[in-house]
Amino acid sequence: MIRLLCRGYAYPVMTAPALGPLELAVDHGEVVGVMGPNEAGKTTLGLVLSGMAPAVVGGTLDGSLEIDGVGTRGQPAHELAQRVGYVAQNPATQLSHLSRTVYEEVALGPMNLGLPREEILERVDDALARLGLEDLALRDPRRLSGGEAQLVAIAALLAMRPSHLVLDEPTSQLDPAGTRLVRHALAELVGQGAALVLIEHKADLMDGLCRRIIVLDHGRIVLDDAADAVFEHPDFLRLGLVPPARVRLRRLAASAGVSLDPLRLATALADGAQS
Amino acid sequence: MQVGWTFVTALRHPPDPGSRLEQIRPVPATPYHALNPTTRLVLGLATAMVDLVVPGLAGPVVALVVAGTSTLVARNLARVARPALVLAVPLGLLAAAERLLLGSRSGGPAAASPSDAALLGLEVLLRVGVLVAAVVLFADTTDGRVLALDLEHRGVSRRLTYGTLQVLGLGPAVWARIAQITAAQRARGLRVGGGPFAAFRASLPLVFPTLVSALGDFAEGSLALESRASGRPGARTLLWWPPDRRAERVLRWALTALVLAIVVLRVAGRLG
Repeated sequence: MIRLLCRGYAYPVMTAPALGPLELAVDHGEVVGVMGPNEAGKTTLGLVLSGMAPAVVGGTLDGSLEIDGVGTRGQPAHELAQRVGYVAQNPATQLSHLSRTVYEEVALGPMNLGLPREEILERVDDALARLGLEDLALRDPRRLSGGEAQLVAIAALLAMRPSHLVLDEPTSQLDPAGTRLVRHALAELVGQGAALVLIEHKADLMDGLCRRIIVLDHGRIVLDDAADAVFEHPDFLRLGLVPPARVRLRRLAASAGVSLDPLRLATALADGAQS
Repeated sequence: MQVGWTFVTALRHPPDPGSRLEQIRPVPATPYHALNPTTRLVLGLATAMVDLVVPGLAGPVVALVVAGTSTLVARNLARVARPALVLAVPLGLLAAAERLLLGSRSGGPAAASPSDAALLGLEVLLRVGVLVAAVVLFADTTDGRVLALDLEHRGVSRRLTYGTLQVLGLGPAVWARIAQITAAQRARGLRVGGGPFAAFRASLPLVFPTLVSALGDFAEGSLALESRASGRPGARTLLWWPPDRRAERVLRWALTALVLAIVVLRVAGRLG
């Protein structure tokens, strides 16, 4: 479980806090989606929830972060990394540029942990298989497309096998097939008990994966509810956010005087996405 | 709580670990590429030192033989010779012309003969050419990531090798981004006339903002490394490292001793 009690977080040198007072708890096996307009503080929240801020980024957190009941204050980054995995949104900066092959890139984290070689190989093979990256294993990471790099960055995170995950726009450069692979891999991890915080603009990725969505604005939580309730909330549209296709379609149908069964519509859209 | 990860079921065809390790090792294209990267580094440095420190034509000629042989064995003649000649020929001609027109320091203008000037031009051409060749050959045939791996295997600090690679990558990253920006500007109709010099001058205002942006990426990359436990103290597990033969170790020590001896003799004035 990730539990954040934040009275404020400010980046180094900055006097104004990037995050205002907020409380957030994400339970085992729970997926929480984080949405919000630009500059709302989504990435900052991701960094704080993963412990990377202030442990690596610096700055001042007035409050506390607990992971599985243990406070993170003073913990070194490499220990935090094994408890909460974090992937930032820009895939170009997520790769180390230290590895000759994708295989070694994915292995970098487990190698850093000093794990036995057999375990490293097993973890890497598993992570590559989960995201369908076996064919890229021997490619030079510097020659990957944006989408491929994003998948490799996520595979590298999976190979670390953290207890929980914080992902900042993990599918921003992925095609629908890649997005489905990531979604499937994340659903598997959540099924195994990981808490997952997903920062995304794509409401369609959130829909079905996240039961709970929080919306940030100016560093504060302005909505925190079940996904459907958030998508229907007037403030959601007011902030310029776009609900998933299912909700938009139902609204259009309603405005045209046509009634749609939400459950059948969701099933039909899911079937369409699968095919 | 430690989440119970279940594995193996996701694997379609789990590869044999031994064969996977064989696959990720680089396959050397030539006997030169088969040399350990640290041997290539020492060979390059020794060639450059002999080229620069030994007076007269002897140093550059010996260095030329070593660099030339290495280049031929590496089958890299065109890629090495081109930049070496482009840099060395103008400097050699300039040195010869300067000697011819202005004369030697000791004798004044009247003392400079054409053969004297030609000899100086040849020496400058050889020194610069061999130096450039040694650097280009090493850079073109040695993957910095493999060299870093080899140094780490020898006990060099991981932070040092990581940091060096990241800093070395900044320059190319900045230039690649400038190229992207100028391409985007051209696509929007901006034309910089006047040849390569004008293009270079037009790109100068982009250097500072691009460098600042590259430093931002550098910080983000460092965060990504930290999130993969790169700051963990202690040794990490290496999957493989470049082979190092006994003969190569002997060669490296011999070259190091030779360079030290040359430097000491030069400082003592025994080399003329």
